[in-house]
Amino acid sequence: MPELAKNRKYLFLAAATVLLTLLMSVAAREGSRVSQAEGVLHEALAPVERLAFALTGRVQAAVRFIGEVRNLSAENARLKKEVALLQTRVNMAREIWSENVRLRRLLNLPPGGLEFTTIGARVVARDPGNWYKTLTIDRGSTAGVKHDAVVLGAGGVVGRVIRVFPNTAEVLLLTDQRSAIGAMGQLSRDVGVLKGGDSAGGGCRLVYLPRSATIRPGEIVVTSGLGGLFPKGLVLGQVVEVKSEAHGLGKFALVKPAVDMDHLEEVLVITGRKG
Amino acid sequence: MRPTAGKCALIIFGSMLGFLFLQSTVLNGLTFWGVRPDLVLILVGSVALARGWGEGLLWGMVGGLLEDVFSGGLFGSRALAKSVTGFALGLAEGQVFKENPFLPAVAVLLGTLLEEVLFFLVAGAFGQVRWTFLNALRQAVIPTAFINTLIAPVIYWYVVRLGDKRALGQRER
Repeated sequence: MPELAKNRKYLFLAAATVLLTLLMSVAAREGSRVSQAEGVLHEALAPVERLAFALTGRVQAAVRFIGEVRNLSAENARLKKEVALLQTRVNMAREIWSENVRLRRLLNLPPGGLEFTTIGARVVARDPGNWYKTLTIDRGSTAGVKHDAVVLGAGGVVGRVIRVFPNTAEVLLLTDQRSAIGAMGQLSRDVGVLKGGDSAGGGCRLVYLPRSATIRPGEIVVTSGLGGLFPKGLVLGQVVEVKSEAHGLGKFALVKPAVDMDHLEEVLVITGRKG
Repeated sequence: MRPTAGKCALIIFGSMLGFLFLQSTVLNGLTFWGVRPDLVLILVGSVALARGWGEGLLWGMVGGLLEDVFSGGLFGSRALAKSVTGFALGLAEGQVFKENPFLPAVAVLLGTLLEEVLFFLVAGAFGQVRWTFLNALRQAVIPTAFINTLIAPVIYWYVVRLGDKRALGQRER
């Protein structure tokens, strides 16, 4: 009996460990389904989180503005030149687009455009830990957000929805170590898988590239459409560096995401295809 | 006036919720070596050091479960890692001088290393961590342990003075 009292603390530890392991097993079996308690907590805290996140964003933006104000004039001149150049490219792209539509009609091919129906959402919180890269948005199932819906930011793909609550949803960023997206080089058409969780490469790594791959630094990486979740042709990022695998059988590329994940405030959630 | 046990529990729970809230909003843009401090873990460690293994285990579980709710990971994985860490740090209560200024820093350093490695093993076993162990050490475990160690004395000081004045006045057995 005294022995039992002495080991009481270890019995408590064992009980807690067993209880939590059972809880994890149930959670793992349930997968992405959300328990009622989780849903209630998420929903209750979302408005407060939204307010705090917005305030923090304003303060950070003000600090950034103070740091950048000296370079505004030079940046303005540079951007004006860039706008003029991009305007020319947009006109060229329009011509190519209309030619593409005519040729598709001639060949009796289905339309291949990237036209989606989307809804806007605001970022209200992020994962509190350091292991995962997820964020919470203020739109959920009542607004039409579905599990696995693709989320876009200014410039490209942000990630996909992994948990849906009535008025909020959780998004797995493409920089999360659990993220894997079918991807390819926009020019080289080299196909691989874009994996997150690579801090050295600015966030992502395009892996499983063949040795013969011709992908180069600076090339845009887009979704390949393989895998079914992400439509083909969405911008993911830009190649920073191309390296050979350690065993020499293939190559991989370090990719910087097109979207600045650290300063995301608004996103678009794809809810369907137009037409 | 010393707060009652219930009031203390309420203050610790409120602080935990507040820290979690800070981590997912305000601290989002403030990363050091690519990571944010784990304020909840520092709080659990401080409570465990000041109040013993029982409260360490309990608050580790509560803090971990709360974090699991707001995290995109496997529900229960943070709770398991944090409750075991709270328990382990709580075993030191009564064995160390609580006034020692290095105590919170050293304890939280060891506690963070333990918690992060436990989390890697537990979440990894359920397929929720894809990093190799070396990658995890480099990208999460060591930077978090470092930043937590720097912040630990402030939160420990807060916890010791917060509810239980006995913690400082009482010499160890």
